Parts: sequence; structure tokens; C-alpha cells
Amino acid sequence: MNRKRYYLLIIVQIVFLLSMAGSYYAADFFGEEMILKTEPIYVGYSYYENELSLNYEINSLSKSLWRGTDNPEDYRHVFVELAEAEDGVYQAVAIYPDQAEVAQGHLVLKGRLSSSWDEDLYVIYGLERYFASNEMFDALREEGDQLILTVSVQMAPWGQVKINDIINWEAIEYGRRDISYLCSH
Amino acid sequence: MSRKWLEKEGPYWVSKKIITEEQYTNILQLYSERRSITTLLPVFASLLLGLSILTFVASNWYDIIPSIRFLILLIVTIGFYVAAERYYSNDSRHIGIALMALGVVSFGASIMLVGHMYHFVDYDARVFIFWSIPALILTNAYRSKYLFLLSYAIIMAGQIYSLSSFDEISWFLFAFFIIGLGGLWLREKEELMSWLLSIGLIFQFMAILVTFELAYMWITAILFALYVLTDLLKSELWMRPLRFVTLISGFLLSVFFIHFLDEYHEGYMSIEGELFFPNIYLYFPVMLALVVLSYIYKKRANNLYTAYEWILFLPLFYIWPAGDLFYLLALFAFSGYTLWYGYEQGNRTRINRGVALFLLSTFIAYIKIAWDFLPQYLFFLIGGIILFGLNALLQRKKKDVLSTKKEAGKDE
Repeated sequence: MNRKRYYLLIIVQIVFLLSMAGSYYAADFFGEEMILKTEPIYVGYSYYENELSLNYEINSLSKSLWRGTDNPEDYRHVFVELAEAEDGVYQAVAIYPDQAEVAQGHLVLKGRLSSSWDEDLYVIYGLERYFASNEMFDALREEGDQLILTVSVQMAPWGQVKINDIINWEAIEYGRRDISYLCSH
Repeated sequence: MSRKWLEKEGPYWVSKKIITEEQYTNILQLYSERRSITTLLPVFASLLLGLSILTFVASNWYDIIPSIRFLILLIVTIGFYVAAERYYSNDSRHIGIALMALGVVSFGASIMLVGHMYHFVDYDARVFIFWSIPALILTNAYRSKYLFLLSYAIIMAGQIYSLSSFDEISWFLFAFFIIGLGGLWLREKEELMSWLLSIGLIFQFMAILVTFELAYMWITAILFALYVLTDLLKSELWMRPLRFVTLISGFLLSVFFIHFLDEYHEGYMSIEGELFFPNIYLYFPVMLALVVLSYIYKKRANNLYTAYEWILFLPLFYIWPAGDLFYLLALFAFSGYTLWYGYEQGNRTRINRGVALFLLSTFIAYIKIAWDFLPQYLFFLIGGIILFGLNALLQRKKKDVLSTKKEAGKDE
């Protein structure tokens, strides 16, 4: 391989990495923000440092939202239509087997059907894993064992989704919380 | 060290009038006193410094702002690649290739870390797909076995990731495997590559069957097809691993069936009928076509006697009851034929292989029959005696056959 082609290959790889980084900032610029809420999750029990396992409300969807003609279980990827509720949090309103035109102001998230159980479908969007900063993680752990997090998510028009930040959290009233003051973290 | 040698040999050269005294001192002056410790110190120093930088970055990674992290990754990747090119063109090819591999690894690590940093979402094995592209390009351009191993590792890791995380096989990686790695294999004709590619290929075919919920037993057809491929192409040294792997797989599958076919038919294995048995109207024509192909090419290469190897690919799993017994018979037949032809040809390797296979088959049969009702010590005792006896018999026969062949050779 002559020198020019070799360096061209290097440049291509660098450009690739740059475009990865670039799309992140582009998502901020071109994309839309969406607020999601999680179910009560445990903080601090993960193998990896600062890792949060986010279990969203929209991970578990009722089968009644299915708009396709055949069984949802036949599909590997589904498209979930989300609409903003009064409190600003987005809720699922419909599930489609394919990309669909949705009403103004509604957003569509692509998800992978993980499993189904009775009346519910479990869909994964790839937003379920988040590495918080040290300060954020410590603050969350201070709050308690089980928290409901409000997460800000960015949706780019080309389908890329990413977590912006955790904007709010509240602890769940379980017995553990009372003695958390006594335990040192 | 070299200077010492120079100081020792120099006077001898002078005495032989090869060089003059003056030339000797001039040469010595070129190489100033260099004790080995002074050359070692900088190396140690740079090693420690490098480790310091590495551990600092690693432990403080999350505290460094993303842009700087990104810059670090870029610098590392570019650094390895540029250094690789420099060393390679300065005739230090091995170091060059090694640095190139590091560059590829840095690129992959960068993709993952950047993705991690910017919270990218994984829908498939695209990280490995993109990672394997420069790996394959460099492997093929420099025809390096080391880079081949790296590319192979990346592709296989990608497939395993795709299968475990997303329950699907990556077609891109499969295509890269065949074209990028297979293409190089055909050009280089290297044996290690044959081994790796055979195993990787069978693994991916199996993954395809599982992912698309096709009948698992199509694997016998795939193995047979690969076996017939070795008949088609000349069976030179570098093709042998493929033949060997397919036969071994067939053998192992037979062993599996000997033990578990009854459990399947009695409903203990949770694989449904359609998932297990291939569609007869498709399967048998395909197998028949393969047999015909194999026959034609074996005849052409005058290898027709190797047709006994087909035994390992027979779809005996259709037979019930006693399918497992048939598989046992097949194993014995295969070992027996191997032995037979070994004796016929006086081929020591073949005889040894036949002996090993025959003993193995006997052992498997013995386990199947005796495990359930013999107490353990008796099981092992009798088993050992049988195997020893058989071995002694077969070795004696081997000696006889080989010595008569030798004598027959001498007489001529």
C-alpha cells in the first residue's frame, strides 16, 4: 500500500470519529428534546462505576396500543409514538410495526421488542444505560435507594437518540429511606 | 557488547594487515563507550512514563472534559498509525505491523469510548462493522498473518456480540468474513487461516440457522457441503484443516446423538419437531446432489475409497427408535474403514488415526451401555481393560502389517 493511500485511510478513520462526535452536537442543534420518566429504579447496585439502569415508563407498553395487523411478537423492531402529557412527560400512545406519520407534536421512537408478557410488551430504546457524572451519582445516592428519575432525552431527525441529563428525581417512600441518614455512604 | 568485540578483534585484524593501526583507532572512536545500562535506562524511563500517563488517563477519564478525551483518542490512534508507517518503510516491518495493529485497536477503542462519551445507542454490531473495515483493508494490503488474526478476532467478537445482545447475526460481518478474510486465505493458502476460518464459518452458519429458526439439522447439510468443497478444490495441505474440521464436527455430532437422540425423541429436549428436522423435500435432494458431486470429484482425483467418509454425514437422526444405535454403528464403520484402508496402504498415520477412532468409538459404546448399571469402580476397571486389550491387538496388527509391507517392498 503506498503512503498516500495509507494516510488517506487514517484520515477516513479520523473523519469517522469526528462525525460521531459531530452528530452528538448536531443532535442538540437539529433535534428535539423529550422528557421521560422512569419507574422506581435502584441506584448504586451496578457493576460499573456510575452506571444507572434506567427503566422507563415507556419500556413497558400495553398491547392495546398496537396498531399493526399481525402479532407484535413477530416484529423485532417497533416504532412507538409518544405524545407530551400535561406534566411535560412524554407517554406512549401507539405502537407501529413501521415508520408512521404521526400527529403534529408527537415523536416516534424506534425500539427493539425485548419480550412480551400477557398484556404488556417490553421495548428497549437503548436509553436504558446511563453513566452519570460523579456529582450526579453521589447526589442520587444521597436521596435514597429507590428513585424515580425524570430524564431529558434528545431526539435527532435522523433517529439518533441520546440522554441529555437527569433533570429531576424523587425518592420512593420505602422503609429503607428512614435509616439512610444513619448509614454512611 | 559490540564495542568489546571490536576491541578484541581489532588488533587481530591489524596483525593480519586487513586494516592499519590508524584505521583501527578511527573505527573505535566512532563508537564511544556505551555500557548496556545507559541504553537500558531511557527505555525504562519511557516505560514508566508511559505507564504513568496511561494510569492517569484511565483513573481520571470521567473527569476529563469530553473534548479533551476525544483529542486524546485521536492523538493515540494517529500516533500509532504514523509510527507504524515510519517503521514499516524503514525496513522494520514487524514492528511496523505491530504498531499498525495497535492503531487498529486504538481506532476500535476510540469508536467505543466516543460512543460511550456521547451516549450513543447500540442497535446492532455496527461498532464492529466499522472497526473491521480498516482492519481488513490493512490485512489485505500488507498480507500480514498478525493483522489477519486481529481482523478475525474483531469479526468474531462482533458476531458474538450481535448474537448475544440482539439475537441476530450480522450480515455485514458475515460478508466481510467471507470476502475479506476468505479472499486473503485463498491467496495466502495458509494452514492456520484454514483452521480459524473453518471454525468461524461453521459457527456463523449455526448462528444463521438459530437466528432464522431454520431446522437445526441443516447443519449436517452445511457440514457436508463444506466437506464436498474440499473434494472440489485440490486437497492440498492448506485445505486439510477444513476437511478435518468438517469430519470432526460430523463425528462430534454423532457422539452427541448417541447420547441425546433418545432424550430428544422422548420429549426431554425442548426443540420442536419443525425446528429440528429439515423439510424432507428440500433436504434429501440437497444431500443427494452433494453426494453426486462428491462422487464425481473423488473419482476424478482417484480418491474413491475415501467415500466411506460420507458415513459421518448420514441423517440417521430420522431413524427412531434405535437411531442412536445406528449412529454408534456409523462411528464403528467409520473407524473400521479408516483402519482397513490404513492396513491396505500401509499408511502409518491412517492406521494410528483408525486405532484412535476405534478405541474412542468403543469407549463411547461402553459408556452408553455400561454407565447406568455398573458401579463406578467396575465401570472404569472393565473399561480400562477393554481399551488396553483392544489397543494391544491393534498395535500388534499394525506392526505385522507394516513389516510385511516393508518386506514386500524389499523383495521388489
